[in-house]
Amino acid sequence: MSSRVVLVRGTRSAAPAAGGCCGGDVRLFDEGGGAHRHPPPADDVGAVYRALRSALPADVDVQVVSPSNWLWLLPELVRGGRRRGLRGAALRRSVRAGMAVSSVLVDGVPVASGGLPEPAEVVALVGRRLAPR
Amino acid sequence: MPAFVVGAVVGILFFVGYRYYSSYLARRVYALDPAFVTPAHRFNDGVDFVPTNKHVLFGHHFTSVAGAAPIVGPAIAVFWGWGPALAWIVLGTIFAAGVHDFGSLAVSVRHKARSIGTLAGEVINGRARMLFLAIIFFLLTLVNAVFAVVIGNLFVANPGAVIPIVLEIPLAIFIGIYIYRTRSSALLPSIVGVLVLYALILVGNAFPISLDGWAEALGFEQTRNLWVVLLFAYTWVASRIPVWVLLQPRDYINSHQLFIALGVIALGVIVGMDTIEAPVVNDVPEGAPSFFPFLFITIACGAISGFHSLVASGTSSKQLDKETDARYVGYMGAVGEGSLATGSVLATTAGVAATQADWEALYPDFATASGGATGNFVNGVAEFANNLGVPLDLATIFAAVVVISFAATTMDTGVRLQRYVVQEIGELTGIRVLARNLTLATTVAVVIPLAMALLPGGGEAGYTFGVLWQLFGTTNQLTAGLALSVIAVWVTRRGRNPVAVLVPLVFLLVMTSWALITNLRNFVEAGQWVLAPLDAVIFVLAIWLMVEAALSLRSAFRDRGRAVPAEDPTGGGEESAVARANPEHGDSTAGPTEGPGGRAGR
Repeated sequence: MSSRVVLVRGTRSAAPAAGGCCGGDVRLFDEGGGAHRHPPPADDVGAVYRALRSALPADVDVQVVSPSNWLWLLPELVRGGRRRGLRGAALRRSVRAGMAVSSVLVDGVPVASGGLPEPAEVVALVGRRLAPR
Repeated sequence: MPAFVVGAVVGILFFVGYRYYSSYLARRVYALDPAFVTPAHRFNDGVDFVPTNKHVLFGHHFTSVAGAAPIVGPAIAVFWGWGPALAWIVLGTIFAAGVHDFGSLAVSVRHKARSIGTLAGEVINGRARMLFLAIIFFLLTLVNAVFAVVIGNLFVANPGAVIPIVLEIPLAIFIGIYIYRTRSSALLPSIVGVLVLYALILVGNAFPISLDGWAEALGFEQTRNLWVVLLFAYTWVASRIPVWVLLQPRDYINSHQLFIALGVIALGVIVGMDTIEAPVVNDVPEGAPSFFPFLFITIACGAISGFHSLVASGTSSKQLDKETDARYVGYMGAVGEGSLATGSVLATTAGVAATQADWEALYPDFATASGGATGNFVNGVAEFANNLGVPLDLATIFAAVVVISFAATTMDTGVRLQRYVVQEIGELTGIRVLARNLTLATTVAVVIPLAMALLPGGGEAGYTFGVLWQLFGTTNQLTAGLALSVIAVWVTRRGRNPVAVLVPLVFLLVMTSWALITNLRNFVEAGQWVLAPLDAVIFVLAIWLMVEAALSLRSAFRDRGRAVPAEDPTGGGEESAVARANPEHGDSTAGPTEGPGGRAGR
């Protein structure tokens, strides 16, 4: 089975979505008006993503997910924890750590939580986690 | 007829539409290619352009398109009976919204994930960009105006909802700051936020807040108008603060509420075995608007909404992993919104009334139907929640809180977006102060919809809201018309059969024009000198759109026989502005991690 690395965005870079019709996450223009968008300062997820993408083999899936997307994140973390044999409080702790903003998960197991380390460090952490595969 | 049977039939039709019609679109109209390198891979920067799992992307796309608008339109439209309303929702979702949302995504992906505004300029002509800007300006003006009125009406009708909604603001700010400071999970604080919000319903029920006295003292004709003024004052401030402080944490709370509301409607309908008490086709009183053409602009979101093209082309197309995922994300997004609209029809035809006489008392004429529509939805959902054991008074406040939360977030975002449009218009017209001065741009973005929400008097308040809502629906349909024109031209130029796109395009343009002409005549006869010029301007935009669409389609049909340069399957070509803004990582197709198709990470 190929592995999956998930980067959970930080609070500042995750776009608001639930404005709903007619006020969700949109970009009206690619140029011109885009300059007026005043986007929030991006967090480090982009740099970490690029470092991982260039360092990892093609069969490793890398995803960037908003922390609000719990409907997808929660099963991913529970499955990952269970595969690792975690149950009860240990599983809960793992899920909580993985749901934190700016986290890194490898196959549903958090390797960094609540803040993204430097890209090179994330690559090393993920590499160590993937090594026994 | 049992409401759950109707809901189940609609669900089956949506499934069939997705299974077969979207498959036809994917193969024969949009010709999706699983080997095409999407912009998410080509410009992969981990920020805007990220190849994203289709289920993850669908979650983002769906919460961006589903909100209060598909609730209000159907709640008004059942005035013509549940048959026409539901038929338009089902047929519109399958044959119009699905084509439009899916197509916007597919065309944008083939054009480096450009937004529909830019695509209109590229695929049609340069004037179309200006047309897009004008339509969006009116769309956002009307969105903000109608939702202010919706919230004002709900506050007046449900004073118990005031405390929960007002305290939701500091609650969301606290959650936002807590997550930011502790960098902890968004899930638990937002669930706690929802629980606190629902606990505040008890407080709100015990201490209902009415502004009747203040409204009278300040000389407001209606209490609702005082709420409208307060709401715009709030959005003036809220739209200027960083999104992570208020908008984003409230999004977290709203995303839970969306699923809770859908769950309550579905379960409540099944458990309560409510039957639809409204007539299939209502014998509307003389002088009421006829369902041709007004039904088709009263229900915009929920049947087809141009706003979805902004989401599809603006953000979702930048994250599409495989081109073939466009079918699932785009078409299913439309189906999701259609399901919410179906819930609204069930709530306002089955939940809200125990007998047909009760229902007829709620929908005796168009003015009463329009003014009371959202309240009827709230009461209908409350009945469904009551079927699940929630006391009716608390259930009513719960339903009001859900709708107001959605509508308030839509207003926050709508005013923010309108500010960008105002600044863009300032740039294009050379009025630099408008483009540069944030305070002025925000003020303009607030004052115009405020005036629209307050000024169009001269008629019964419910009727005025009804026509304002129709004008909003019209501009939303014109946005969809522009997107469908872009898609139709694109499909035609590639020598494919454009009928699947042309049919909804022509239908929408005929219905919107027909409604605009009829309303214009009515406004002039009634001396409504705010609504008449607004209607006339929107009609001019509709004519402009028809001319541009006809010209570009004629040219596309003429060019049809000629060889059209096929898109580079490696997604090559000119970089987009966003990719150019990230030059250090603009093009990842040459990266060492790319697979044979140039796709990484799968």
